[in-house]
Amino acid sequence: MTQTLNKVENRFSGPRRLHPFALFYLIGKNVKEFGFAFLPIIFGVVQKGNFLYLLFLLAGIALFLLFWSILSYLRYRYWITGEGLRIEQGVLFHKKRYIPLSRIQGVELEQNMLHRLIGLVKVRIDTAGTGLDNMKGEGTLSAVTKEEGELLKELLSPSLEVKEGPAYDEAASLWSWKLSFQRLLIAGATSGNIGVFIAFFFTIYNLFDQLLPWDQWYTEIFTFLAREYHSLAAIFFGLVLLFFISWIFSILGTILLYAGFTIRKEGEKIIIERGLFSRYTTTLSIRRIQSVHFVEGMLRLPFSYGTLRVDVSGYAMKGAGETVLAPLLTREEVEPFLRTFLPQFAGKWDGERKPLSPKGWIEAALFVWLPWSLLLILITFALYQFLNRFRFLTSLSFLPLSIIPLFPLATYFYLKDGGWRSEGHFVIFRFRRRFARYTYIVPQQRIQTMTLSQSPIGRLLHTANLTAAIASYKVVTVPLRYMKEEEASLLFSMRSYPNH
Amino acid sequence: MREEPLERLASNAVKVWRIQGIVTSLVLFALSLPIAYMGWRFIHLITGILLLLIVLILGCFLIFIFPPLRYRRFRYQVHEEEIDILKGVWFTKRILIPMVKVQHVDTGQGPLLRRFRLANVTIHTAASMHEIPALETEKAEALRDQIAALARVKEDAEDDTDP
Repeated sequence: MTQTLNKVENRFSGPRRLHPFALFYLIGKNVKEFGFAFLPIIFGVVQKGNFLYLLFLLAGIALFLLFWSILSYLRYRYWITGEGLRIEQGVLFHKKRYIPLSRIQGVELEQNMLHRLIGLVKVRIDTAGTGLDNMKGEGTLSAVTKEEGELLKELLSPSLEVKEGPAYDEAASLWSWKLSFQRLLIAGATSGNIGVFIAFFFTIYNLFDQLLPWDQWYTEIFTFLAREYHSLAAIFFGLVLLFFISWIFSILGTILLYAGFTIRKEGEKIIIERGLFSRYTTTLSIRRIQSVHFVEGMLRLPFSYGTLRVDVSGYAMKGAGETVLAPLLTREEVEPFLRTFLPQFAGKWDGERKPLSPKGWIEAALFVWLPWSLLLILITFALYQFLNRFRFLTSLSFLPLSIIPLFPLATYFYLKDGGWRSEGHFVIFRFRRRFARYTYIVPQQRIQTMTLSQSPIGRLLHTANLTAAIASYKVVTVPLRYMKEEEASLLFSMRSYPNH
Repeated sequence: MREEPLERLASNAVKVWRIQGIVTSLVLFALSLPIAYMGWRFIHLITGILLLLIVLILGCFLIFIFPPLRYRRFRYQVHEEEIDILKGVWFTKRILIPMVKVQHVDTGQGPLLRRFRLANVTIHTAASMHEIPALETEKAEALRDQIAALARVKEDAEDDTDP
């Protein structure tokens, strides 16, 4: 085995070029980069109105971009030297990069449709470093053959086993879990993931903009409703339509990201594959997992569904924003799932939790309800003045006030659900954030810093907020508000460093 | 409750913060003048006066009230295992940074701090950044080296368990 690995390494030991297909990526990139520079010239020529000139100019620009892309393709080389990956690139400005193996957090292979047709992969190398010294996306090989990609992944993956010990045999990958199609649909329908679908929506909208007269349809329906009924009805119709479309797109977005989601465990590594058109393969080293958390979104809570995620320092799954272990699990499945894939996190998540202080009501009333209500009243007042000037939908200006009753409701759920537990060297926090319920399992040694904060009222009432900071792809804070002071300070000063 | 940290900042810190407060207040005042003028012209004289009054009160806080309170509250202590910081005028904050998590430590000083022979110590972990502001330069440098040394020792001790 060592011999073959050596042979493999030799293959990458000298400067190598990407697959020629990468040229298309470079052309695309150069069009993006230089496009703006040419725009003024193009506009200048267009204004003169000479069609022939424009043709010549465009041909010239295209030639230049092609030439430049070929040069940058030829300049781009990568190879493995010593203990890391080296990349050299740049036509005028030569950039040389060296990514030491020790800084590599994960290697992800990605295939889009074109890649799949030609049998290529894109290799994304994630490096350490959080928000403070971010060098993300610095190692992306846009096109190599599938075989090379997998070898690179083996060689660069952050795990010692790959380098020395026998490579895993297929039989060793005993444990795997697959997201069923039904679950995939449920996950999409309940995701409530605004970010994904808004992007998706606009892409589709732009795509069909020329073909379908959306605007015309919409204006016709809108004016019809406004004329026949009331302008409020038209606005209501618009909102419902927007929600519905977004919802459909959020389902599509989820399918795109998580179709065929499988997770399996091989020794100290977890391998995740997912994606409908673009397939992604992620390899995680269990050693680098900083925390596990189960997120129950507002739409999923009633059905006892949630998403199981992990924080991995300096790494996030592409498109998912975080690293997802299981897109949709029921509450009961969390424990067996953890026992299978991350046994060190098992047996912790569902025990009894210590409740928060009921005095949280007073603190929330003073520091959350009061200032926000005042702000909302101010907004209502301003909106009323503004709308009243045009005598248009004045009744609408009272809408912000309807948010106020939600504050006590939010506090009720926060105090009801929130709680903590300390189990061995682990801390378990449960809290609500933006309508979703989070349950974090954090090994104490993974906590970067602990912060205990108190408001002046908290000092009087003996309540405190405790926040643990965790290193993930960005800084992640795990806050628990309205704790009892003595419990918070106990947890705060509890030390469990490995050499103790 | 764990006992509070003991060390204080340099007493000159109050002076430095006051000067910073004066500068900030002047800038705020200069910025709010045209807005107040517009408020007077387009809405009512009272709007303009109100705005300037708010800026004035804010300035008073920045110059006279916050600096001594901040000084009185801020404490820190460097233990072998962790760094303990207590701060905050209105909301108090207690921060515990385990030595094993410290990635690097800097000292830095702006022109104002340099005039008073003061420096900041900044402690970075993988997930956060914490500042001990306004220490005497020599003390800041010694503290930086001390933390760096302690952090290095700790890192050697548990090399394998933490990336």
